[in-house]
Amino acid sequence: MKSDVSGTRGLLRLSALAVAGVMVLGAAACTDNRPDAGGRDTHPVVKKRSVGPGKSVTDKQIPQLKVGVIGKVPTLDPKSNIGSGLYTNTLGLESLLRIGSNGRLEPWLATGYEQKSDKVYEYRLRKGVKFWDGSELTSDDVKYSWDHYRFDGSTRSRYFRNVADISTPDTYTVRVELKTPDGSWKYTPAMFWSVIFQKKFAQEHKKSHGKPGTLLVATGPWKFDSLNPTSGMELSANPYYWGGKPPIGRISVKSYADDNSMALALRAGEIDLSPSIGSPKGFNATAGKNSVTTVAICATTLLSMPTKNAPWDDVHVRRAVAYGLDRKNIIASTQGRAGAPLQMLISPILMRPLGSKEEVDSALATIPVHDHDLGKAKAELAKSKVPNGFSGTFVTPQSMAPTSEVIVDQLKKVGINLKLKSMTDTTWAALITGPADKRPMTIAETGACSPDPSWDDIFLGKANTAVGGLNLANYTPPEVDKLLASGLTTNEPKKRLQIYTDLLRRLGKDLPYVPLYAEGNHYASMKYDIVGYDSFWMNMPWALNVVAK
Amino acid sequence: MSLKATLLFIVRRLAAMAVLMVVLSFAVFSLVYLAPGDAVDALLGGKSSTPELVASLKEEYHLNEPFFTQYWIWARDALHFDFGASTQTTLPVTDEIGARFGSSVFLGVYAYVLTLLFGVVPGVIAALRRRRAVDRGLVAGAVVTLSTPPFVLGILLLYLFAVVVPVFPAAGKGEGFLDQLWHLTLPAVALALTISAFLLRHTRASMIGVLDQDYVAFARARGLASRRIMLRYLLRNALIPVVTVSGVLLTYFVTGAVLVESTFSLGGLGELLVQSAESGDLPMIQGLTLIIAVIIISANLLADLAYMAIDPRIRFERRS
Repeated sequence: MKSDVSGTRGLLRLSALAVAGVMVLGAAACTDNRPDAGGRDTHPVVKKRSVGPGKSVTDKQIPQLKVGVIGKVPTLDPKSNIGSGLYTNTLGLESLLRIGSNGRLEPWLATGYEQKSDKVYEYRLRKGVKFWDGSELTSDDVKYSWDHYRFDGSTRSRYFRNVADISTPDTYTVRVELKTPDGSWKYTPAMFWSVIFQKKFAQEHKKSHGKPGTLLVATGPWKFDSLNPTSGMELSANPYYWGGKPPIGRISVKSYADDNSMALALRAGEIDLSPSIGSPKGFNATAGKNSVTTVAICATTLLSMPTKNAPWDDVHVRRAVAYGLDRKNIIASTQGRAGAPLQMLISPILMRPLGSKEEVDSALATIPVHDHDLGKAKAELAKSKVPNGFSGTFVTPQSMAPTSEVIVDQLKKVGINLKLKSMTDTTWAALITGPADKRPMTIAETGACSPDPSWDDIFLGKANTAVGGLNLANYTPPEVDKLLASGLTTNEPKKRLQIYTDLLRRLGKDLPYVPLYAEGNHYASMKYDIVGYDSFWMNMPWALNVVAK
Repeated sequence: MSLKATLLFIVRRLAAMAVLMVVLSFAVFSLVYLAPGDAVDALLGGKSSTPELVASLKEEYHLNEPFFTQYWIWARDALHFDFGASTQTTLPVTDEIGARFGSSVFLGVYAYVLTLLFGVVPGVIAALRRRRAVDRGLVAGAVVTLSTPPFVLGILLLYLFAVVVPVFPAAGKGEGFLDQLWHLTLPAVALALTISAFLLRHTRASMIGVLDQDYVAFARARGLASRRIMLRYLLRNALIPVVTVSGVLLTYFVTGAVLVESTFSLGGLGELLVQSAESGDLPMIQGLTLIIAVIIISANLLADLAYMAIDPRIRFERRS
């Protein structure tokens, strides 16, 4: 595979959803089974897939895997709101590429891609890939699927908004032309929002495509046999699967209302595995036997301060806050949702593809960090316009109230007395995306991320101060806007590493946000592990990576 | 009461129901305009808008037409069970409600039957054994059960009968009659226990009142069989207050079991209503409100008919 390119902001609204609603999905939490934190590098989750595209990581066959998910799957059609289908759709629907270790792209339905120019990409499809009905995958199916997402009220159109044209020069080639150079586009064909389904079946069932009773036809290792939007779905092995015989005969997916009922079901043996849970400590307490495994991901939890409103407009106040916070205790308050402490807005996971380990590590070493130091915090406050401390309001979504209480308590020791104002997640989301000058000091779990460092642009830049945008801190230096633009339009990884390092340095100096922790992804099972479970686990048929404990 | 009078009564009630539904449907439709923001905002349900989406919504919901024309089109569609699409899932509202309706009604009826079983039978026994150990034990048990919320009972039942002694499933609603009966037993028991404790006390008090009546003493003096006295003189009179609350109970079990539905992951109408309200899914709220109104009115009509069947005073009142 050739290529490397950059940029789009097409991912923006996912984060809007993330901040506003992914808390509902419960994207972050943690527990005792923490392979990346405990140095247990032999744990299956930190192993990489060492088998080829479409292959299972194990030879052992599992007759049936019973999977639990929180929430419902109303439809399979990826252009609609698929609810908890986020966790199950990729068992049947595949993308052209996959995100491999260190964020590098690997072949899947496509054998490779080539970047023809700043704006043109060509994808070469794998020959012999068959749909569940035995017909072959062609470039027409890819074009139809992507056009389906681009137009006609699709919830995924934002990821394709920079696409000018999709064409099919031949049966196995797909050509994408962008409107402007876009560094993040290269990841789109590897994400769950670009999966491929059969054109013929979709055209025959235009009104009911993906809905219960009709379902859809795709190429994945498991085919959807039934879908009940209130209780779950049944899948069976695809006899035509291009990667060989799938390792699991049948997959039964059951929907649960919350962690507690799913934990009881796991304990009772009604399910074998849940690929994503909300609150690890509570889940473990109910399910028992240390069933949860947590991995730190590229989503970041941020404390934001309104940089244009006094006293937060004083950088010394913001630094006092940064030094006053003790991440260890903050993480302890998350009931296991946090993955690991974090000092920078852009997760190091997203920086890794931009250079060798040494290059990235040495770049990140230049970024200012603010470890907990009460003395430094008080000294910074003494330099500010409010040397004797001040009172203010700290707005928190209900779901994060326990963590926010810890923050209030920690900042009191510095001399900053905050009154905690807790509100429903919906009301909070409306407030933080409202007029920029009214955005309060708040805390936000972002809950999702794409593999490109431009993902975190959503929290920065003048454009994101508009109503609906996520520049929570109302932080708008023109130099930052320039860096964001260069990061998107630059293709050379080394240059991008420099740009995003400069950006992180600037953020470390100005501190519109205090990054608190990398969020966690968590699966639960007493019987199985998921190999290579990372930030992007759900973008491929993850059940190919399930191994017995 | 003659058959003709009964039919006339039913027709009158149905006519009143139709008028009520028209008024209610108008109020429900007006929600689009009463919600904060304009009609498009309400129908977006919190999603970000694009000019294309706004234009599409205006066309789909006829928002450029006069208000009463919009209402007429909406009411006509509603009569055909077409309430539009959910703003959250994009599926037709009718499909979403239909997927949950059957199991919610099953659970409601099952819980109602169990409530009668757990409430009326011990209530009668407690009244017949007044001030004895059985009576005191049953009343004390009722107080404890009455003080325990259904979802707490649900979690306890789940732990006992799905984890410790796994004889019932921990979640889900099953398919087919027997499978549903098996899946919904614990939720129905959890729902029924609290209400049946209330019903037990209600039945006991009512039964004691009837036991003290002269006509019961006279029936005994006439040497009538105990069974006849129990069925025709005691139960028939004691159960009138129970029948009175039946309509309300049935409606509550079908649509208000949200916490129990959540505990057992049943995905019923109550849970759907709460989720719709939380996410501002207006088409879903409109559809559910009308469906629930129909359930309430129908359940109360059934209760009234049962009331008429067992209480001759009602029949004579109506005849006079």
